[in-house]
Amino acid sequence: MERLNSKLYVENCYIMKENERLRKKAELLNQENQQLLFQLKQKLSKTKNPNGSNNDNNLCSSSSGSGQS
Amino acid sequence: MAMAVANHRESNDNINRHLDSSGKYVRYTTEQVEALERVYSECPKPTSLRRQQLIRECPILAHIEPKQIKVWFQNRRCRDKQRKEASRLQSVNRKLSAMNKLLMEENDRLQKQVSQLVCENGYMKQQLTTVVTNASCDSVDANPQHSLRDANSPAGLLAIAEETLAEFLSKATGTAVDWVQMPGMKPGPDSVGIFAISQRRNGVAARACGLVSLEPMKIVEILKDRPSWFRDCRSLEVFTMFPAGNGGTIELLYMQTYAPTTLAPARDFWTLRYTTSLDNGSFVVCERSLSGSGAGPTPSSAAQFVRAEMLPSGYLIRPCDGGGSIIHIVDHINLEGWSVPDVLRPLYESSKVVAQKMTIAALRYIRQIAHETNGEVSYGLGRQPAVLRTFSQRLSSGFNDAVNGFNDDGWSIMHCNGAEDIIVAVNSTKHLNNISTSLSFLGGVLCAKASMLLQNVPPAVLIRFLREHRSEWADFNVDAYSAATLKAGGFAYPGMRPTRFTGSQIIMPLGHTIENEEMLEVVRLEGHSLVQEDAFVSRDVHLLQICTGIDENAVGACSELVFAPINEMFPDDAPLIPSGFRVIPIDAKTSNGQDLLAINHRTLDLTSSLDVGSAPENAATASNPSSRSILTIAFQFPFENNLQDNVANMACQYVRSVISSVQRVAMAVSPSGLNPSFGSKLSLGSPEAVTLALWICQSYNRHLGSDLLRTDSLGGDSLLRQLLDHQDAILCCSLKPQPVFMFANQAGLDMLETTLVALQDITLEKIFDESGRKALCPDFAKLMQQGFACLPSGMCVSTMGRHVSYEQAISWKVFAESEDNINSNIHCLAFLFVNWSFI
Repeated sequence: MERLNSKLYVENCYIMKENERLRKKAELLNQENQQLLFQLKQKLSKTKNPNGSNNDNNLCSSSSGSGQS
Repeated sequence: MAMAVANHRESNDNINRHLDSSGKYVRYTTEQVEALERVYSECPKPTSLRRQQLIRECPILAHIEPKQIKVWFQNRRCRDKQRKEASRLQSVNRKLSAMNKLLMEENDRLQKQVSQLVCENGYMKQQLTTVVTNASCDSVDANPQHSLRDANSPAGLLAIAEETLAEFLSKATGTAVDWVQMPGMKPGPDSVGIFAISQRRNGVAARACGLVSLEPMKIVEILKDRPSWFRDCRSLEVFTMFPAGNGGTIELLYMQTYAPTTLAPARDFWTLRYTTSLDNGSFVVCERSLSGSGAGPTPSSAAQFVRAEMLPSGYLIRPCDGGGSIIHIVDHINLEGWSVPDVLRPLYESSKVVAQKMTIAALRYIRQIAHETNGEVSYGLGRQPAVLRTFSQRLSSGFNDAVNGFNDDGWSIMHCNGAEDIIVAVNSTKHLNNISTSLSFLGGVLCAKASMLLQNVPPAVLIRFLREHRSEWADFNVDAYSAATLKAGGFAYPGMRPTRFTGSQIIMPLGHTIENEEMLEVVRLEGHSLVQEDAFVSRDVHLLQICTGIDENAVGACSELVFAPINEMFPDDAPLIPSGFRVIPIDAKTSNGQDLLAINHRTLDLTSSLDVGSAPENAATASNPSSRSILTIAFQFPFENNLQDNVANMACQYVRSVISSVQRVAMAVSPSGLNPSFGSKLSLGSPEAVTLALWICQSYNRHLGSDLLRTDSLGGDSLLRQLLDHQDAILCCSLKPQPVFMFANQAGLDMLETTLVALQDITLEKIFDESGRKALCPDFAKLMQQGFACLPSGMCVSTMGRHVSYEQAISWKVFAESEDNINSNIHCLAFLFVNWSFI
């Protein structure tokens, strides 16, 4: 029984470390995603307005000005 | 039991058999075992004497050798220990397994999350490298995380709703927020995990989970009616509602919540609420704020509300076998704490506060309803629990209305008294629509309110004291006045009903919540008419009162005492104009996400019985010794037409006196006793004390022509020091109708056997007995007339009752000396007791 408990405890610790690692990775990926999205949007607006006017690049904006009437 | 244990080990297991006289193993008979067990239960470790006695007295055990008895007890004790150890290991095992399961689930989720992110990542990279056409433009918009959210169309709202659902679920049963167990919660079947302000998001969050014996639909109904259980909720309006596929609904809501103190404005929310059911039979109600201004307060109150944000929160209700349900509640809000005064900020950035006010409150309320529905509640004075609850809600909301004083309720501010920051607001009756129309003769209601900081006073202790010792702070005549003014007809002018109050109160409980965090009661203030003819007519005044947060098990919650005068029959629709106190503790350190993460990863919340590593430390109670709280007082006074100004003055004075009484009480109940929050400003070395010392000496000189102290140096500190060390007792008392001492030198404190802090409780009268007071009278008159008086030798009494004799006493008026010595104001009276000693 004691052995079982110790084993469980060790396993828990291991999983926690693993979770932490995954969390960090998710964070990193998310940041990367945000950046990529930003780049995408910029690219989008550039191709729409080749004269290079400054569009709203707010990532959370609900209107991207993409030609909607 | 004894028979069931296997007997293969001779030496260790002689609990079932013993060696008899012939050297063979013989079983203990059942009677023998019974007898032994009986003794064991009383005395597990009997001495040899006791054992001998046992053999002698108990015929059944007569033929057993004493040694065998000894061995039996030894083994019995050993067995107990083994059993305990086994059950301990089992419980540890259970906890570890539960933890394990949770961690595995989390792990699963994280892996899924990471893989999804990787997928999106790849997709976007791909997009970037291809030529962008209109077609791909649309597909970018379809990116799940940043989809166009058009809050103007049902389709857009539905998209938001689905997103909200997903985010809420990830918080409710997952680890989208790093949950930490709430400190101070008793371990039990519920888990209230709270807080961590996670690094990416703003706001604070609390989560609770519990089992309730109510049907899911009923729970959904109750929880959606937020004003019924959320005391801080002033109103909740549904602006639109439309169906949302598979039986769900989407609603747009505008909610207003009260501010808890007078120091910061109230908050309001504009939210979308999505109600739906999941495939596994659970019901979900989730909610989040929408951007944009949406609905708002009426223009007259616009300045009194700050828009706050609700991040995806909600309720997950899973039906259980047997009719109950498991509820998960998540509250995640951002109260815009950056805009409130520094001292209040911890209140607006604390998950604990959110947990107590919303999350735990909701769970408790549901439990309470479940309890009542199952018929387990006793009725107080024949009233149904629902009726009692209405009273309690009305008292609460009436008090909150007073503290907040919204313009659209009809309140307008009369004036702010700068000195103690007492705000006086007035409301004319035509706006008091929550009070019955029988009060049309009333001119209106006046409210005097204030908020202040208290240190080192446990809220529960203070409120308990105020409740139990009403006479220490209240003037029952004021309560009588309010009660009389409210009585229908208004022909009874309070002034014509002189009443003498005995100062005692009788508390009659009406009911309480099952977890005892709130009590409803009726308080009777005994009064007798002073009018001779009416001597036998009782002039008792009744108050309906709720008291919350004084239960010993209250987890650092806010404590309140709210009362309102009421007719002794207390009809269900009686008009209630509540007044009261609210004390909210402020955590000295706001819970820091980093700290709590660190705690969580020591994994000791669930496995506290395993002594691995250091004990779990609580970041919130770290090194800060002094605890702070905010006290908010609001008193309401109904007034008849034409009496507004009179009542306003009375109100101000009354609240001022209540405040100083409360401060006095606070100092008395403060555990350290040495930390005066507002008290004596005349602590040694303070500039006020130095100035006072100067004035005392100057005034003495002026009146009596000689110097009080040997040196005439007006060097601040040294003068004060000499005064304090002077061998004669020097005391100063204020110039009120009841003169109270406010300063004493060391000799004075010794003479009265008191401390500087407790000095303010002592009136001039108190230190003299009957004869002393009589003797004082003419001298006092002389003192007031000519500015000083010399009293002959006499006696006074210390606070401990010891008699003191003095050779001579001198008293003089102390002036707050101004430059020209002509336009001075009298500050206080000074007394010098020469050559005093205890008798």
